[in-house]
Amino acid sequence: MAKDRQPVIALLGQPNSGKSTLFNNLTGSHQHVGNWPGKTVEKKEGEFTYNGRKWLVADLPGSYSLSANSEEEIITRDYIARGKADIVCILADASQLERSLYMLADFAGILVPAVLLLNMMDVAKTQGKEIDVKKLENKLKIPVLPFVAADKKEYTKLYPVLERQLKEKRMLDTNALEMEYKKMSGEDYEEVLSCMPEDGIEQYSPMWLAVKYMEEDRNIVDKLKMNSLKKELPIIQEGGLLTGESKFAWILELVKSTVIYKRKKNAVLGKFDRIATSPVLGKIMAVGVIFLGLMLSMILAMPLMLLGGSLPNIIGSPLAVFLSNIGVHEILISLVCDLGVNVISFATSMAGFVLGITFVFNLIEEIGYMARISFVFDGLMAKLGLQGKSIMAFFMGAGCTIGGAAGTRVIDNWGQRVLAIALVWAVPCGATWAVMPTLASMFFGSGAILVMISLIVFMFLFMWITARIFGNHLAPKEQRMGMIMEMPPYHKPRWGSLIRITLMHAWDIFLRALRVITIVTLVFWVLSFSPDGEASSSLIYKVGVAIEPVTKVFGLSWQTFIAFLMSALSKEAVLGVLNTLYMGGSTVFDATVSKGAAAEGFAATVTAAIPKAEALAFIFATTFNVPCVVALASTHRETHSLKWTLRIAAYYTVMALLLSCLVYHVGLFIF
Amino acid sequence: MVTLKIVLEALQEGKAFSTELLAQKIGETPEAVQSALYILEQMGKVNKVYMNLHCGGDCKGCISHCFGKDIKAVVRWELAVYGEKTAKEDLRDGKLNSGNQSNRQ
Repeated sequence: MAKDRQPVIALLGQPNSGKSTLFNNLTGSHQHVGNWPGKTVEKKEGEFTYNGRKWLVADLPGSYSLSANSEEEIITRDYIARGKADIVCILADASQLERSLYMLADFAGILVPAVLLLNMMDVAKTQGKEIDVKKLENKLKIPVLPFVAADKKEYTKLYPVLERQLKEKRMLDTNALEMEYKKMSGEDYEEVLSCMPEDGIEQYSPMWLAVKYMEEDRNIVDKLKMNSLKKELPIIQEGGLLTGESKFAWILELVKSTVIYKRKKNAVLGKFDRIATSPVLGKIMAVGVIFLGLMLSMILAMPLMLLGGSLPNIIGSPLAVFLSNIGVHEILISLVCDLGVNVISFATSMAGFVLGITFVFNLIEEIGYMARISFVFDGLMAKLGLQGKSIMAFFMGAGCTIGGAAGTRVIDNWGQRVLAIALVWAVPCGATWAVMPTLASMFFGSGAILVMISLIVFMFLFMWITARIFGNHLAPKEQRMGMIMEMPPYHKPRWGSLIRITLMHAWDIFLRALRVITIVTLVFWVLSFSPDGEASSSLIYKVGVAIEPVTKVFGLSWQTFIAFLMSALSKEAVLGVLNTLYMGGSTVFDATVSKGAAAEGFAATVTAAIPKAEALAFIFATTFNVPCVVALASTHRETHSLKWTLRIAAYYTVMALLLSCLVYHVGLFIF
Repeated sequence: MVTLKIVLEALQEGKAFSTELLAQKIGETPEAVQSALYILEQMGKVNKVYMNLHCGGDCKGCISHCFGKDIKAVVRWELAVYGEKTAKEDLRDGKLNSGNQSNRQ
């Protein structure tokens, strides 16, 4: 190391430790940026002057450790080991010392004077942490400075420390760490150490070399092979884990003896959290919260639902009178006042449900409880043959199956991914959540909530059946793994953001529903149109009558069967199809339902025309039918398997029809 | 005291833990468990997975899309999977040191 040359400081720290902030504040505009010789990694150097002396600062590439795992790590340790720095300034994040001291532990044994900067002390203080800096300094035998790199005033404390260390050249004390190596690995470490060159290699001490050898660091193994070793190196089993354990034990001891936690955790929240994450009570609580959430979302949906339901009376009837008075053709009046107004009415009701659901579930997530729900159901996921993280895909699927399918990307195993997608299909999507309560309210009034709960219960059963059918093939038991989750803290919701998202979501679904239902309504209106006024002349009637003997097997009339088929295109389409077939004022409707009912409005007409057992069968069949054509495409994109996409689609269609048949016959007993 | 091996074995059990519950089980602080996981990540033994409840990352046109909400990701840790083998199998075979270098290439 040159004595008379410009002193050099090397900044060493993990990414996000504040190294760049420190470099920029130290050097200001006196920086040079280039590349490390022969590498693509950026090299940053700069200068600062203190007490008339110019210092050179090298910002070493950010790395998590000093192993040879990446180009950055090799550059960093080579720079230090070749004695290019007079002082290595190691940055540790004081707010998470247990993690950030790992770099210091990995540095221990490199014979270069060092300074430990405890950065982000302000954050540590807000966390209620107090660090006994003197004690830490005594243990490490190097200068330790509490620091806030972002605060320029703090730098006046740093310069004298650097100047003093340049004179004193204090090295990090490795005795305690070496004791841990000896304790953890017993004779193995001693044996390896005894083979090391007495003076080490470059600035690497024999201890550091022995540790890296045990970690199978190829770069160091090569270096050792080029040196004359005292004896042949032994083969060490589990060496990497042993040295890791030793470093970890050393860090924990340091933290325990020097960090005091002043802020006590909230006892009530702690107790609540223990219940919320317990295997049995946690599940009960989660089910209760979801149930209450559904109730609350229904209440929130009520105003828009009522508005949607009364639109035909508020707008439809006066508009029909007005159009009739100005001489508009009867068919056109029917198209605008029956179909058109109903489309707006459905879209409004659907937006109401989505508004309620979005608000409630975003609120649960905002306060930090949603992660707990996902955690307590992890075991259930395992029973379905999935990794616990699949639960996220199901939550996304409750919004949209396309999102749910994409959400399975967190699953690394292909078979489990396909299985997760197959199960996500069973989760009613946002559109289903909007359409089914609308239909259930029409047919069953206040009993709609029971229908919705039955759908949710059956969803779990359906998922279990699906997992049993596909699970053994796609996700054998031995591929299942455990997990450890970091729970987000509980906190107050950000009301502004919550309300904004809820309103945007409701508006989005309103526009989407309006578009889909309008298109489907128009298509079916055209299909049911007959130029001669005879019902039997329309295309849809001919097809419907032809297939009815088959549809009856599943408990569905030909109208509801066509609506069921259309639900595989889009769930919103269901209302459009029913709207046209029952409310078109067309010959098809006249031919199939009594004329008097038409005047009563959609809800009255449809409930008069469709028996309750059939309606229940229809709701179940439609809910568990293929979610939509875009979900089908998305499944193909995510699985990269046409065979599995078609297999899943065929399975859902068949199961939905079987379910329809079953529910219809159960319904005949009830109603 | 928490050791890296205890944490690895907890993951090997195939059960779900939170950092708080595991810390409680072994009489440590959640920070110590998090630190153990972090070190195991450096060693290539575990993976950190970020998840959120809104967005699969490719949800353009999805009905549940997030409208630019700053999504809070949940962090979960699991045994690393490399190629056809998992750290779970290494643990079973007593080859825990082999992951350090080769698995991270």
